[in-house]
Amino acid sequence: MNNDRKRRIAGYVLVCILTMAIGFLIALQIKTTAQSGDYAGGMISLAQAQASAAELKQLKSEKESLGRQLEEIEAKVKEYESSVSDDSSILQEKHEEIAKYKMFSGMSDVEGPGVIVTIDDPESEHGVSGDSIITYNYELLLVLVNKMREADAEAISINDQRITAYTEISLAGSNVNINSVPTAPPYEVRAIGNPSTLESTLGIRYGILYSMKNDYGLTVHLYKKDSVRIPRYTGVIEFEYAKTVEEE
Amino acid sequence: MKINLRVIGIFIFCVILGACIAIQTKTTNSEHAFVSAQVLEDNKVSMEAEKSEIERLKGLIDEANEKLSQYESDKMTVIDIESNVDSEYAESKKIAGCTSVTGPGISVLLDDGDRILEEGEDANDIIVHDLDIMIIIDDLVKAGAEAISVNGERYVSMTEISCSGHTVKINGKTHARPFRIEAIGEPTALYSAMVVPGSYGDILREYGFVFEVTKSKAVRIPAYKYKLDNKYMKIKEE
Repeated sequence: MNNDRKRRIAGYVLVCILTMAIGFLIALQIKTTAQSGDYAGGMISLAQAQASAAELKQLKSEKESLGRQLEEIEAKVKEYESSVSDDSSILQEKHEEIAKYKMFSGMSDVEGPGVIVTIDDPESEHGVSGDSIITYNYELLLVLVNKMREADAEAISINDQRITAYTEISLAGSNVNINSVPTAPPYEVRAIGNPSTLESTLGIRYGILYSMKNDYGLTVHLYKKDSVRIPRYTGVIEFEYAKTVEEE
Repeated sequence: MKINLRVIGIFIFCVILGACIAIQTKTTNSEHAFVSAQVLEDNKVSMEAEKSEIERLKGLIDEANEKLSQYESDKMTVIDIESNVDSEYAESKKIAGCTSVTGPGISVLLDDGDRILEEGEDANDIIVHDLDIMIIIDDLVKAGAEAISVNGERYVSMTEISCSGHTVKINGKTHARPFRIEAIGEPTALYSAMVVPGSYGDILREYGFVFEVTKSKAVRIPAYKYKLDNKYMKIKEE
């Protein structure tokens, strides 16, 4: 009788320990799932990813509204300038020249027909190694920009960073810095120009997009567009060393 | 009675376990969770980028607002305003690369290697390519170059370096080796960006290319000589 009771208690204890072990494992599982956002390689819940995407979208729209605000103020300044002067035709001419210089140097928002190229790391590599192929081969972006210029692109941006004569594309840590702003894949490269010329120059066999796809295994798409918007360069360019030479 | 108790115990455990699994699935798996953490990392970087963009835009807005309030305060004379426009004109022309500039800087001579090819190499391995020039320019910009020219062609936002056989097209004009790249900026910074061990210039020289860098107190860089002609882009209208 006593023996039987002992055995029964031992059984309960065993079940209890096993249940606790299962509980512990479940808790551990939840923990890992929740935390894996902290290190590259794990899986995260879609809800988390969506939240972060939503936050990014919100920041983008905030940026856009600030951009519009800036345009409005600049328009008012211009209006003031041309309203004050008696001889406004000279000022008008100057404003047109200024607008042209700014457009070409990348200091104003522009739009027009062109192409959008999207570049992303291969799906299977994502998260497995944490190393991004496109990031560590950022000179591919340099080549792409150069080829777009060869195809007579008039304005280019990478992930909303306007490519100017003062734009660097450089590897900084595990990110690619463009205009000193860190960027990450997926990359969206926009160009304004003749869409067909751009498409056939970039898409040529053994060309840059071919090489990205076949030599580096990147996921690359090119879309022809009737209207592409490219934002202005938002940095400040100050000349400390270069002095203008007065024309003779 | 004994058996019943055990069954009830196990039954309760099973119910709890089932509930646990159900809750677990509900919370984590309700929306299928096969998104890699790398995506979240990349999103974070993009968010940082947007934030710094927002800061920069705010700075530009402050600047523009200051100008506007100056105008609205009626303290500005017509002459003040005209000189404002003139200086904006000069500045935007300079930024576009449409004025010649001088200043301290460096001069880089880049040419094909003249060493004898080793086994397994072909001539391509010691010939200067467009990417070589692009990377040198990129390194110069990174080091703070304010103006750059290649064989007398001003490097502007749309300058292509296009390799075609034995010649290279720059700003649509045909040029041939050797390549002289000039840049205005802090000479020491530019110089070290070119020659520091591990830099692209250093790699080129190690490889047998001709790569000479000289600092200079006065480099003259010509203006972009061609017409600014936009066929496709126009200023964004609201």
